[in-house]
Amino acid sequence: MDFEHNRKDTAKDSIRPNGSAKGLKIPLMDFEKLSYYEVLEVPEDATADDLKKAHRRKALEHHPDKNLDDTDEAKVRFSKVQEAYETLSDPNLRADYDSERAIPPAPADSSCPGSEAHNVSPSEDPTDKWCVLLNTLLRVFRQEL
Amino acid sequence: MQGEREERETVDKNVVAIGIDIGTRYCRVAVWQNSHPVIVPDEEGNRAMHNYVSFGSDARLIGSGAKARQAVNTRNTAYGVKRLLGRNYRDPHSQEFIKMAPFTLISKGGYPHVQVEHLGKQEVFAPEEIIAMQLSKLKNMAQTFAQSDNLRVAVSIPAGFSALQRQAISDACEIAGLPDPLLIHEPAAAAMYYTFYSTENPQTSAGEKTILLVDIGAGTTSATVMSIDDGVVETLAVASNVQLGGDDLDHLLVKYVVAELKTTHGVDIGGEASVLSRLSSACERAKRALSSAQTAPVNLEGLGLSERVQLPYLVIKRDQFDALCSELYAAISKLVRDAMTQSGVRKTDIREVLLIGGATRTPGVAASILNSFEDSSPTLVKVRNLDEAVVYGLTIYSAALSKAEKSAEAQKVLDEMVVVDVIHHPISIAVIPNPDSSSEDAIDYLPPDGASPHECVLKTIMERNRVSPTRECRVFSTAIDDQTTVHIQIYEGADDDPDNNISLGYFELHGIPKSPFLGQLSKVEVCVEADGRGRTVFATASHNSEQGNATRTVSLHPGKLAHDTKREMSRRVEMFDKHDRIHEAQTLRRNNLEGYCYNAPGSIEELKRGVDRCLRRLDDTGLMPLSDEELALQEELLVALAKRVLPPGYAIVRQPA
Repeated sequence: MDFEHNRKDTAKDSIRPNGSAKGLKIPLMDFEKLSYYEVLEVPEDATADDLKKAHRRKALEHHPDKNLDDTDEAKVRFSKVQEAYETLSDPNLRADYDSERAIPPAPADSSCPGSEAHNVSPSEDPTDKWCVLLNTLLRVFRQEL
Repeated sequence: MQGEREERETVDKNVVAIGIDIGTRYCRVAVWQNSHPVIVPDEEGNRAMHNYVSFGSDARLIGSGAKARQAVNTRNTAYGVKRLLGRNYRDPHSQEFIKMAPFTLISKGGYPHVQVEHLGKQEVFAPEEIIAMQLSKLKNMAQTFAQSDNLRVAVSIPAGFSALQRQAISDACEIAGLPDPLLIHEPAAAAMYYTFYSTENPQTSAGEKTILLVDIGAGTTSATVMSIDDGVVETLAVASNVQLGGDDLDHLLVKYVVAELKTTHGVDIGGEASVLSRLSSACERAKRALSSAQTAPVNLEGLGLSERVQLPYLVIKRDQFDALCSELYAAISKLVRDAMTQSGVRKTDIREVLLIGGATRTPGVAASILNSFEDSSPTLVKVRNLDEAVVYGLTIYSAALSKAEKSAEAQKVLDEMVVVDVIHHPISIAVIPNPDSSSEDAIDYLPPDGASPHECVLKTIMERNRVSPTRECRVFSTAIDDQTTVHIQIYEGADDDPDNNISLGYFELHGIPKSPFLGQLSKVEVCVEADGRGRTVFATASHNSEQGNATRTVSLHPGKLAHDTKREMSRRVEMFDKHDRIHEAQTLRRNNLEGYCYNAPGSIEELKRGVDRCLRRLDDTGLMPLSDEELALQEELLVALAKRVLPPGYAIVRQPA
């Protein structure tokens, strides 16, 4: 587990999300942690038109039909692209997503990989899932306050 | 990259990409050759194969031969069985088909089966087997045409086919010896064809656009809203009706003629299946003629009614036909409206309407589609080969997914194309509703093992027209304290009555611990994954707690034939194929021998004349010695003659001196 975390950190330093289009793909675990903007490789002030173009480009890149060597992984990436586009292309959902991101992460977050974005597919580690659940509860609690 | 591709090509250089379109009335097969799809014609040169399989005392006939023999072999000729796939015998649609079919359909295990006499025995075939026989023939045609056994096959499934129907097509492929086919929805294949040819021709590629694709085959109809930007096609919404198509236009005309004969001639042919099937062909011809003419005759002479009806034909006017079909036109317009509403696209944003499928040739059909656009007027695009768009598209799809392409330039075009499809039916799960349904966050309960299905309602996990492949996870709660088992039942459909949906399957998750929090129920997460190809739906359920976690994943294949059954069917199809091949070889040999016998008197006469000529030459020269050259010439002439007039095997062979 520790080794995994270390490896991930170095990977994050060396490969920036915006440089992934050419050849090298960032590892799936890191891809899953990217924000919706990073997934689509658009700036945070992207217009509806930018999003549409970016979505098509990313659909072509990640569609399982275009990744025959590893369709299972492509399915996960493709779903994430879809999720990102569906959220950001809807002004209401996008506003919700932006305000959710604006809330600073709770202290407990540091021990919970993958919890900064909601709807992240839960990882295989059971403790992670509990953390995600707890965090969601915490977040809801804080929002209600 | 370049090096990598070259290496891949050497590995897959024998792969041949093919597409097979299984229609309600015709099947087509095309092969990827020289960077283009090429239709494989049958032995008579037809580009489409009739969906007829004829059984009998000697051999089967598949395709146009079977259709030609149908009139004299009505009870033993099966056709149109695609309509029965994935349906049980009692299904009203099956019953309607059974009532009209001039061959025998019986119920076996609750499913309709075809019963025929073949090689002197009574045989019963599942619809999947009949389809497999046709697929097997198409496969052989493609293998011979491409001179390769290494095929990568894409097979069409109509828009809106249910999980059971998709599975039946998949099973039929397996029985026919086409394992692991790519199952592609027809609109996706048509879109592939459309974009492939617009990429090739820069004039038609006018950048980003939203189009409506209407595909009306003989038995299924769909309307699809798509957005196209260069090679990327996004399906926005599909609306389909798998019980509506060009055949229904024929049926309406048949009904009209039957009623007409009854009122004006007092002849009732309503119950005579073989007459009706011939009348259906006559009506189809009239319908085709009406696509370009204002009036067309329905020929009555070939129906075998000359004793009872003195009328040679009945003239139908186009207006009359349109009036008969008005309800069908309305049903097509309804699909168009449904697809438009679902897509959220405004009518004015549709740039082109693309028509695919033979039935779109009927002018009333095209008019009714355009009418639903009211004041905005999109361009009506009729591709030249609207019957073949799907099989071309499938072949391109297959090529794009198989690395069968040799040229780097063509590969680049394929690489830049993708069709993003959607799921055509919602997917739901049976839950016990939370009584506190007013709160949005209320988590529904999963029933325990053995709960009555009447307590459950369906909770939609995935809506129709959701982009696929897709995965969705929801958290549910156990229903009662101390519940250690949950029963998870997954459905295709979202009807409140579970019986109106298709059960994809169910499974249980055991050993759920009691929640550590007082007064709280345990949580179970259910994930559903659909690949949208109609191949697989996966469901995963998991719970976790301090005591540990448990996860169970099942892959759902409703209605899949048992492995042994499939193997047995496969063996039967192969056996009949083999029998037919032997029969064909025997027939050829027999015909050859017969031909020789008929020609023999003439041949013997010719040989005799040659022998006489030779003797005369020898007599003429008397005692004069003949030169070696002259003797050799005479000998050669005689042997050559014998060789020509006698069949191989019978020839007189000159012994070496």
